[in-house]
Amino acid sequence: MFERKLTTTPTSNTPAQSSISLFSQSGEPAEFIYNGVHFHINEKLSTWLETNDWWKKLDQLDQLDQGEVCESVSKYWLVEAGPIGALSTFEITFNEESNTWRITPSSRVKLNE
Amino acid sequence: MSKEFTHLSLASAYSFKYGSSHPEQLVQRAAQFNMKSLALTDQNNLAGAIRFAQSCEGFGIKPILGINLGFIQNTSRITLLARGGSLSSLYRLVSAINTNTSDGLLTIELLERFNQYSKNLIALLGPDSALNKNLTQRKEGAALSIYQLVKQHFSTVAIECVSHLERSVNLRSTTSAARSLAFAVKNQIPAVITNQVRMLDKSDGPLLDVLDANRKLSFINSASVERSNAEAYLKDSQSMHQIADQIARAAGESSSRGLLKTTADISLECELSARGEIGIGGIHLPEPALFGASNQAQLVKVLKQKAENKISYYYQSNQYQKVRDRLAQEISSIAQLGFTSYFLTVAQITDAARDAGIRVAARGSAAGSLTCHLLGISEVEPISNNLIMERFCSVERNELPDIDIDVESDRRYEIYDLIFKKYGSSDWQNPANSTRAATVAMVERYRARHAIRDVGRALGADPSQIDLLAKSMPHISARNIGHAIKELPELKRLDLSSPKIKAVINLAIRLDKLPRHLSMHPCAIVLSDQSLQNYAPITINQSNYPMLTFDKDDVEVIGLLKLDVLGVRMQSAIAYTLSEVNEVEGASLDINKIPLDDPLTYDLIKSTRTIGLFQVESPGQRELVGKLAPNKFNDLVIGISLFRPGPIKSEMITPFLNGRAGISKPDLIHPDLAPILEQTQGVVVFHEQVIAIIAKLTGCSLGKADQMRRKLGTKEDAQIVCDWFYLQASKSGYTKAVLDITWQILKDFASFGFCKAHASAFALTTYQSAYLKTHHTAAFLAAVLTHEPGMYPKRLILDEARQWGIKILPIDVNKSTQSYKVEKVDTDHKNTYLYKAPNTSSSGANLTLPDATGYGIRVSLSDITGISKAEIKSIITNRPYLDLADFTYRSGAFWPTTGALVEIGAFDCLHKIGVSGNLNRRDLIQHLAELKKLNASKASAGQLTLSLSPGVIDSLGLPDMTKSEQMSSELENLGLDVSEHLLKEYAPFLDALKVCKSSDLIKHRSNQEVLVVGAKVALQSPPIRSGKRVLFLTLDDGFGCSDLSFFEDSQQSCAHIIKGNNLILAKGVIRRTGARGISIRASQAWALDEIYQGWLGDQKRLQVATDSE
Repeated sequence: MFERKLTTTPTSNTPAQSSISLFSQSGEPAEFIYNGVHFHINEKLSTWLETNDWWKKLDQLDQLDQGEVCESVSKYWLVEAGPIGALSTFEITFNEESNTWRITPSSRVKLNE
Repeated sequence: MSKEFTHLSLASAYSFKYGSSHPEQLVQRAAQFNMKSLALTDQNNLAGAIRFAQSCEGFGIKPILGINLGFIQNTSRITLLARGGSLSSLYRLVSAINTNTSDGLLTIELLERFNQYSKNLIALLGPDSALNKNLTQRKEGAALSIYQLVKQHFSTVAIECVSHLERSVNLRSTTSAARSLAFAVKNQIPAVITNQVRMLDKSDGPLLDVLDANRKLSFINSASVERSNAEAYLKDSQSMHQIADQIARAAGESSSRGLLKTTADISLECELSARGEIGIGGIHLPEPALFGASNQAQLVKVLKQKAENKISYYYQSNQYQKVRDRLAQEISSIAQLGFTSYFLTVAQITDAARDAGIRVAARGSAAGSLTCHLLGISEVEPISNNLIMERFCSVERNELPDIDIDVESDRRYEIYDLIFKKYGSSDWQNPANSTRAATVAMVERYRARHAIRDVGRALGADPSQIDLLAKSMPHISARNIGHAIKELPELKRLDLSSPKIKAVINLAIRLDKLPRHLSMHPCAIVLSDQSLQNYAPITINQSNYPMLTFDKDDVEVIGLLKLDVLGVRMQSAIAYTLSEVNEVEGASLDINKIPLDDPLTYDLIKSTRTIGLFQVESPGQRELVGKLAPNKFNDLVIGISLFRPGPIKSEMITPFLNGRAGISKPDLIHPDLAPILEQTQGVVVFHEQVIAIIAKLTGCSLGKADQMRRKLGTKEDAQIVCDWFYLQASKSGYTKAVLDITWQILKDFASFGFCKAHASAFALTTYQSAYLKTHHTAAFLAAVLTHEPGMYPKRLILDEARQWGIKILPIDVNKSTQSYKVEKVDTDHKNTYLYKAPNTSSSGANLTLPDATGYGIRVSLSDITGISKAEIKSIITNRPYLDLADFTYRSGAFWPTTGALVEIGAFDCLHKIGVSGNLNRRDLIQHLAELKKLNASKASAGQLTLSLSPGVIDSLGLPDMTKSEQMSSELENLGLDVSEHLLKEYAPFLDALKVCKSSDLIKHRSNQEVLVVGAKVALQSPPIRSGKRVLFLTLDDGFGCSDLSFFEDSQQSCAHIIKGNNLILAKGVIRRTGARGISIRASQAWALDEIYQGWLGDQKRLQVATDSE
């Protein structure tokens, strides 16, 4: 009851074997599969919100006759995760508009600068 | 703990090109969130303060006011908040920054000098402060010394913690906010949490990027965009508490309680009262001492004395009692309202203006006040014109009324200078400086065109496409852009399908009404007491006048006396006419003493030859005066009142005309109402009549009646008035039948009514201009040519002058000046066309019109294309000139100017061209070329030698310029056809076509088809409520004007022809209205030159054919 599973559509830049597999009750990612390997999130180092460069995507605004120029928000998590004994840092992104996830191993693991 | 929160950092759209939401929207949202108080801290100015406070009052929220400023440098920001009771300190400090710096930065030096104000304020140092920048670099010591430095100058300095949930390296991340909080806790510095709000909703993000890019004059790109997400919106209390928790946790605090408590404490300390300190509903008039009185009672005596002194100047002795009674009544109201010094102040200014020889006239409802008349503020006599003061101000209404004065447009700033000399003070370095006068700001807002241009630039859309789109937009609100694109034919043709253009339109619509910048209101000046600077911040504007950063509505709300000084070109023209009359005739004319019943003046107006006159020269107004045939001053007042869309559409003029002509008997409803309704034949035209009717039937005061009249505008209020009206009036014993008729009239005509005082003030100027045109035609038209008060091009006025027998004298280097001058000339010039009113059986009474034969108007030097003021001055100073060579040596004119002067014949007189000898203009042009060559060789020789001086001018035997060459040269160099009307050369063709002269139109019946021709002098397309456009075209053919209307049916084929050509031939059907009202409903139009060339070709072929026979 406290955890639920979601299947996500892999995006183009995510290898087919990568997906979020388990969420906490508040909707935060808890476990994911990356390159076919199952990872458990041990610690969330930080989270933040970012909007996209909407002005670069005006050509895609084909629905503009009805709607308004808008931007999409992504939520980011910088996490430490790993199978037992092999911790790595990942950046996980969720884009609200497209309802897609992206998982990238992070090279800029610089906490508190 | 209940989740309460107050936003202490809020940038509205008055943070120009930074914030995206109106203060009112933000206040409304805060009210929805049940917030108890809200701060407005716009960037660099306080222009939104009064609107914000008004809105807060409406929603029951306590306003807090502050400002966000560049501190020492522009990139380092500080927010200042006024503590309760010290708003004036904020205003004073901001005024000090505005008036002592050019960049608007707060400096330590200013803080030291104006410490008496800063020490009452609270300062917040946020993410953009120098303090925080040191913290991010781990320089805690430097940060602490900044705090200690700033702390000396303010009552409190607090650290502002802001988290927009950005990436942790950013300034507005939780990490960064936590670092600030930890620093504050460690050093026992108060810390607050804000959200640095820039927008109402999350979805407004793209607008912020457009604003940022425009502020930085850049495209939108990652460098111009100042945000990484959309969290800078007005969040609710719960969200803010959550962020506070996150910051506190990240700072290692056990809870966010301390942070939230300090925020709440500072909010409480800064709450202001909208009525008290901010001053909504207050009143601040100049002090009695300025008029030699020590209290209000004495001041009233001063006013009374000043007004009474003038009774004998304006009135006959048998009227004295009546005048005194009314004056006493008015002054008692004025005293009760406390407006005494208002009247005296305005009177002092109009006196000063007249002393300086500047013409002044009042407009608007002020003309209804006898006090204004006696004080010399208004020229219109209110009693005989049935004007009442209650339309202007009354005890019942208790609102500070506006007085607007019209002055000569070219001397308007002289009046400003007089006012600032008397009421201003500009010792801005002195903290105690107190000016009583300032100009008022005007908020420029985004409308369609600017919005499209600014968004287009930001998005990098194709500039030519944006330019075309913006130019094609009518002057409408940005929010109507979509509608305009769908509706207007000229916009339908544009290709707007590209995604970028669609995005531009979408975002442009969302910029609707956002403030762009502050400019100076074109005519408003505030006059107050010495405390003015405590109630409003001041800046110095581009014209170098002190200016409140509040606009005219704000100023009214806080009870500051506003005087509108309007520049009216007609006043300049009247002044110029009087000086020309004085110069040419040697007689001085007192325009205020001319008879208002001069029959010749009314004949001129009735003839509809009213071009150049005030208010009655447009095609529609000419048609109306033709129909109205005014015989007396009141008719003119009625005419001006009826010339508005509502009355014209509902044909209000017809029952009036029928009543006046005796065709039908006016319905005066009830004997008690007869005195009110007689003047307009039973038609309710004026506000003053509505007021009088209500007062008469209900027995209430005129002031109360005006209150009721004002309420008739809206449906709900009108019902309240209706109930009250029936109840009160039936108590007075009027029958239901009478009340039913009256109520129907009040209801129907309330929205059409016009202020008679205003109409009378305008009508007086109309009459004065008509009188001058009738009796001093040449001087008046010279004045119209010089000051251009009207809507028509100068060449039409020149032709108008020709038609009254005036000789148009060409520019002469020894005679022309910077303005048009009247000269007396021989009367024997033939071949001129003099307009006589065609008095036909259908056009009513025979009219006598002016004949100004014997006068000439000398064209001015100012009209030469490209001539500068300095050149004109130099040419005039070095007069007289012996010949062309002499002119080139001494006049200081540039070669192109001299060339133009030769071409248009400015040397003809000097060289006797066309009089004696055999020289012509071509010889002079040749001579000028030689002079130029000589000058060049002199310059290269480096000295002036007499041996190089030019010899006698030879006649080269070249043919002179033809008439048509002269004409094109005049049009090219002056834009005027000086020697003759430009249609003269088409005469044979026009005769062959049987084109109707405009002066002969009146000889035709209604519905007759005619051909008319002329040069385009006006083309208007007023907005019509039905959405269907009508084009009104006025053509001038050398005999007057023809006025044509093109309706939808003829526009398809004609619109591009009448828009794209200057000489037009048109066919249409005559429509006669009244005695002399004429218009033409056009069906077809042609470019004159096109068919003329065709005709010429035909003529030639015909000629050849005849010759070969």
